[in-house]
Amino acid sequence: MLIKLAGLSLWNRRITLLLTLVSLTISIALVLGIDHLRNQAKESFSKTLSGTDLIVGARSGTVNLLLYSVFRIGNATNNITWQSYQELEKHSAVDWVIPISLGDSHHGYRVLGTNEAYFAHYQFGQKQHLAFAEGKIFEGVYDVVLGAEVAQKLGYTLGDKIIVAHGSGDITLSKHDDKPFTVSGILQPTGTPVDRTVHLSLAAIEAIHLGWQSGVQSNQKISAEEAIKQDLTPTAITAIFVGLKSRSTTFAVQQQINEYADEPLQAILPGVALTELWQMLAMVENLLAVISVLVLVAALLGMTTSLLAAMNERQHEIAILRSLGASARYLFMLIELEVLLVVSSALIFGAAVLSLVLVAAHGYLAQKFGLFVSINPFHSYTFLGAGLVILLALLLGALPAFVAYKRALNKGLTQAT
Amino acid sequence: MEQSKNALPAILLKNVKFGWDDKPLLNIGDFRVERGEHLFLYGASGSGKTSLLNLLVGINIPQQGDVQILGQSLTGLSQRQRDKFRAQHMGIIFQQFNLITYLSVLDNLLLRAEFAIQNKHNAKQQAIGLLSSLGLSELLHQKAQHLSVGQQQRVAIARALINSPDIIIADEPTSALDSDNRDAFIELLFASARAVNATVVFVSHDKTLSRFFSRSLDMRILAAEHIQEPAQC
Repeated sequence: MLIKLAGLSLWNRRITLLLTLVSLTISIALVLGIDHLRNQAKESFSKTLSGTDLIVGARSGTVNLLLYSVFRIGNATNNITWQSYQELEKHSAVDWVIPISLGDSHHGYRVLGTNEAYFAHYQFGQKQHLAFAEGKIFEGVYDVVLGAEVAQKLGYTLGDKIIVAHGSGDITLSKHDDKPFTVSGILQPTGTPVDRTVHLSLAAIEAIHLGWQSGVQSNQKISAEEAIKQDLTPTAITAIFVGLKSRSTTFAVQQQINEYADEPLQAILPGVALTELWQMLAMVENLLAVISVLVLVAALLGMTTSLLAAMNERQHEIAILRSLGASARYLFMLIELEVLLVVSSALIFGAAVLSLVLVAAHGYLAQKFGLFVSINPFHSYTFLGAGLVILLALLLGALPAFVAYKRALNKGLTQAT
Repeated sequence: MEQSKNALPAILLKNVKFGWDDKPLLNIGDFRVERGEHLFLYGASGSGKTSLLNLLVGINIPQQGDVQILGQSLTGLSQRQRDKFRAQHMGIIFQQFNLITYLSVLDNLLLRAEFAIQNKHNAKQQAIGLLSSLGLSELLHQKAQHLSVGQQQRVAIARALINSPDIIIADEPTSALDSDNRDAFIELLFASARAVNATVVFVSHDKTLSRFFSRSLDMRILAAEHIQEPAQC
């Protein structure tokens, strides 16, 4: 009967309560959503690179090196020489090396020069290797392998011709239009920056830059055919991904690289650097979390306010219940039960709204931002959080409940008419 | 105790003083209502009748003196015990707004049964029987807010009777009714009260109603009985 009474009483005040319920639902969906995105971002972030023990680049900041080599964000301040790469390749502790050469772009997508080692050793997620959706690795100098998003967005298929632009803006004035490339392969989606990368061979990078000096094409043009005949061994690359034979040697090798006499180099541990970068982003992330929690608290306070305001209208109801023999405690329980019903339904609606939004936005996010957000927003601690929300609501609800209790004791059977 | 209980008056107030914030509202030396009696209490608003009713039903207790209902001293009971006592022994009918408007007629009775009846499994049968005996069987599942005032007051009687109360307390129950409905209401109330042998305390500002009752009392006289004040104890 108590539950029926609470339910029908709420239903009786459904119009005012609807607004409370809507604001609670929105804020709960918000808190859940932000928490979910946070988790997803962190997860996909840490999945970007795996299996690589060291990243080597010219000396700059740790985060900077990570950003340009892994996330294709920003530019290298300096290159490293091909000699250094060869030295490192020969190092006894080193299992494999992936050379990376950055600097050009194609319709805003970064162009990355590398070799077969990239396709053999680059790993992401849970040590997954890159796989081809179509075609194969580049064979000729003017072959190109596209990331999944690049191919999909720009509508390229195998055999299409593309032109690479010099520099990294979406709109660049200088294009390597004298040397068009043919799509030889398209990778499967990975949910990492690889999807947004155009892969060329190191030789191709050399070839398109023949006759260029300080970013400007000189007068004597070298045609595509002539270029192939020249020595296309690179003189410099941007970064190197290193895999070691044994992880135990990581720090020793890192130190050797950092102290390399011939050139100022820097080796970073991707895991450590990723954590460092994530901590920088965590500021924003925590701020979002705090804001969403504050919104929730505001909504709960709003609910308390409307319940308190309703106490005046409900004086009859309370007087009647008292005359029937309802104890003050019963009235307290009644109000708290109402709070429980409102908050539980808000939790259910909030979760439902978020799930619907995720289902609806899932494809869009993946397509537009390459963001693979899982549809299931619930984590092991979600229910603990829901419990906390209910607890907080009951705590706040104790205020109107206490007013009902007090009024029951003092006002007695007085009826406001 | 149990045997002599029926011999005790239904209501007995002795040397009761009651008020808020040192402002005395009631000062009653001796007030007694016998079992089965139908008492009319005449009182305008502000005469202290609400305070008296709150004392009778055990919502408030006096600062001084004793309130005995059916031989049970309410002043000796805790708030919860008084709530329970009220639920079990008393039926209360208000001026208006007797019912929880969003509940059906039947649920209004069952809500009362929740507090008043020990044996709850036949409460529903009892409620339905009671409603039909008062000619309300067609309204069983109507929301209370859709009833006329006259119908509401009849449901209020049915609800007051569900626990076969020893005392029925009615606070201006007819003030919202026209004269035909009023007379019908009082007759129904008396008939119902007689059926369960209940004592009736009926409070109203309408003096003309006193003709229905065997005894009438003026609230003003009752509330300020200085006569017996400190002497008897």
